[in-house]
Amino acid sequence: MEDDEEEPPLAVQIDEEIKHPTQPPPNDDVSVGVTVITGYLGSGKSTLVNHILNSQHGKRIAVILNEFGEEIGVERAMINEGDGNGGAVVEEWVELANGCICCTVKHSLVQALEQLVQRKERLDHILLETTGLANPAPLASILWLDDQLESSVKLDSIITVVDAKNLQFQLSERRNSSSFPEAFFQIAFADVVILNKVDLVSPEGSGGVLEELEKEIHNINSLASIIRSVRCQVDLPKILNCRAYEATHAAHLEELLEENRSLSTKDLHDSGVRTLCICEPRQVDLDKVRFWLEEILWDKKYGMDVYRCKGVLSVQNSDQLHTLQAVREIYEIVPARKWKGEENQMNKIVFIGHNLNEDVLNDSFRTCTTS
Amino acid sequence: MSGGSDVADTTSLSCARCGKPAHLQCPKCVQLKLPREGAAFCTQDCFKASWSSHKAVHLKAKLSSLGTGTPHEQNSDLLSEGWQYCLKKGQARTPKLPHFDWTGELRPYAISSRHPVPGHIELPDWAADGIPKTEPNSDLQHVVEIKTPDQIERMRETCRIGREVLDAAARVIQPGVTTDEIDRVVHDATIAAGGYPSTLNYHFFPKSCCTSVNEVICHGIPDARKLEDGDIVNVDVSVYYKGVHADLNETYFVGNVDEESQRLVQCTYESLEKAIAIVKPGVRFREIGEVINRHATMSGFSVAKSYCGHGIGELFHCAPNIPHYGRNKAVGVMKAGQTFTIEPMINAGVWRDRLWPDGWTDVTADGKRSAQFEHTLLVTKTGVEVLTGRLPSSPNVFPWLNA
Repeated sequence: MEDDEEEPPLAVQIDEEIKHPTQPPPNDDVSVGVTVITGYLGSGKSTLVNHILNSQHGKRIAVILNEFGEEIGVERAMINEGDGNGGAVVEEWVELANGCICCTVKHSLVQALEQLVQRKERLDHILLETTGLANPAPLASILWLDDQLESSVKLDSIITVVDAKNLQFQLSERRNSSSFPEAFFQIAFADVVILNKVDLVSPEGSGGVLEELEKEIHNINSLASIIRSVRCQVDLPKILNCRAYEATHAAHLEELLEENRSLSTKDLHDSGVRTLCICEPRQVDLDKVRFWLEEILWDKKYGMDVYRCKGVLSVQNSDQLHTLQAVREIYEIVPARKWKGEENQMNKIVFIGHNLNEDVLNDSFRTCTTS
Repeated sequence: MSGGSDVADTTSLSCARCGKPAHLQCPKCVQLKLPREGAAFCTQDCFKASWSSHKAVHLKAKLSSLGTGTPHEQNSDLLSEGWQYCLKKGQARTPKLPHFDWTGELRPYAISSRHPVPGHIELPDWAADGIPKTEPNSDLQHVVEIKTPDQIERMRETCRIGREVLDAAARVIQPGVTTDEIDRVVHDATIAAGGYPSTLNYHFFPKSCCTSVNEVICHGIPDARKLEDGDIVNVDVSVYYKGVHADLNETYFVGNVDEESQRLVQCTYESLEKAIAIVKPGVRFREIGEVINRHATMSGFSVAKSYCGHGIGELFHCAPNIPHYGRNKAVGVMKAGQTFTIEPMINAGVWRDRLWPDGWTDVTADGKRSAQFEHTLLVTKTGVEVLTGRLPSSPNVFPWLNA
């Protein structure tokens, strides 16, 4: 195109959204999901990662091996180039922005992931493999960004790989009286648990051993979906795009609303980490619910330690079903969708944590109902 | 009033020729990344009819990106004296203007060498090597400190010094003065009061204050550029004295400033004022963003989202994190004895930002202007004490305060 052409060119359609000069505005369709993969050494975590990196699924997936942390300032990334490059795997370094972390809203890891997404022509998913990290909660806090930031990355789910052969032992192991083995945290915070090495447990594929293990896992976290695997050969669609932290994601809501499913569990181990569900049919005052939840999450009222919390709320003066989600102290309550005509409108909240008291939670929640 | 789409992205463009709603844009403007305003048309016919006059915009943009001769001449003398452009957050220098698709008209200029700090001044742990040691690993990044009476008293003193230093900077602002000269004033005034300018070498930041002109949202580096009539400039001062930090900033007018910029600066001032007005024990930190966002969007502006207010005390930056945008998930409620900053950055256009090659200067993605104001606050039993508040002696530079 020349500057002084005589004829005007054809004018182009303006898109609805204002486009950032070098970065398209991320929305739900465009932002890349980040899955945190955690699990004991030897559980098969690396096998899972390799399986995802090397299988011919046609997707462009980057795996960040969280090896070095902020001190060194770089992380290694392995990227499956997907269809575009015949599924070749390339290695790259992701640099963590250094400095002034304390007054920036986004953690340096998030900024690094965003830069990775920007550099690549197309990325379908990012996996963050944790190494030596007991508790995935800090990562979840960093990655669970405010929608307002319209980031090109979003937390998709936390996946924990457990070793079927050793799980029982790992769960009964106790460091000292005040701390839990990592296995509890990793299961408590998981959205998906991959029960790996099932072939080592029941080679004939029979016996109630696996069912027992699944029950153990559900006792800690009855919201997690469990996938049995051998050598972590898992169907990708089952573990990607879980959208576990998306407030309006339909599948999770339906699950929670299933009336016949009892989500409260007994405390089998002397662990105190379990799942508890409270229900309340009457509508609630949203302000009161916030205060109630903040007292539990922020003030540790009643001495309860809540790791995860998920629920649906039936709110006074609203035709919207509200969803509630919390990871440690960070929580969010948002209107998700209109209640459907035939639905039984009720409040249902699931807690995963330690020292949970069902009566106290039920009674205190009841004070949030409108009289 | 808040709720719904708070983002000021949804503009209704009018045809540059006839004023009807426009959905078409000049493709050359798209290619050159020029603003849509004045380049939008309702039909190909209107575009065709405007073509001969419209295309002058492309030529103007081309010339401007080559660099206007005169302003950079003032740079070339200094370049020969050893002043250089900043790179890598301050860890490197280059004699050549870096390459970048600048979003507005502002360009970096060369910066002067580091100013010394006398031996008797108490230094923060990053002064020597640029790397904070205590701060990143402190528990205070996760727990909000309740200050002791002694700490509070020290913060009152240090914040008072911060205010006096900022006022000194405000007094020298006029067309023709460089931001480097402003930085000199800040540096010297801070040292004279016995304090250390906290920004100096903080993660390698090369200067003693941040000077943010026009489209710069924050963290502008003082350099050889002369302030021009019509500019707006924010000066952000931080002082370390008696073991505690103070942090405050104001946006000033340089000469005669257009009405839209005056509106922007006043709105930003008011956003901070309204936010401070709700500070008291029991208020959620999350609420600050709602108040600021409401006021800014009501005036048609947007809120920058990359930087937030922060706890301050013996550490420069610590918990809590206080976003300035609405619908955020900030944790916690205010309690008496907490000290933190609120520092809204309000943009005339879009909220998105870009980082310059120097690694610090944050600019608006669309090149439009941005303003900021900041105070360090103490939550008291009944409300708030503005530790960095204006004094009777503070210069009279905000017309709306006289109204």
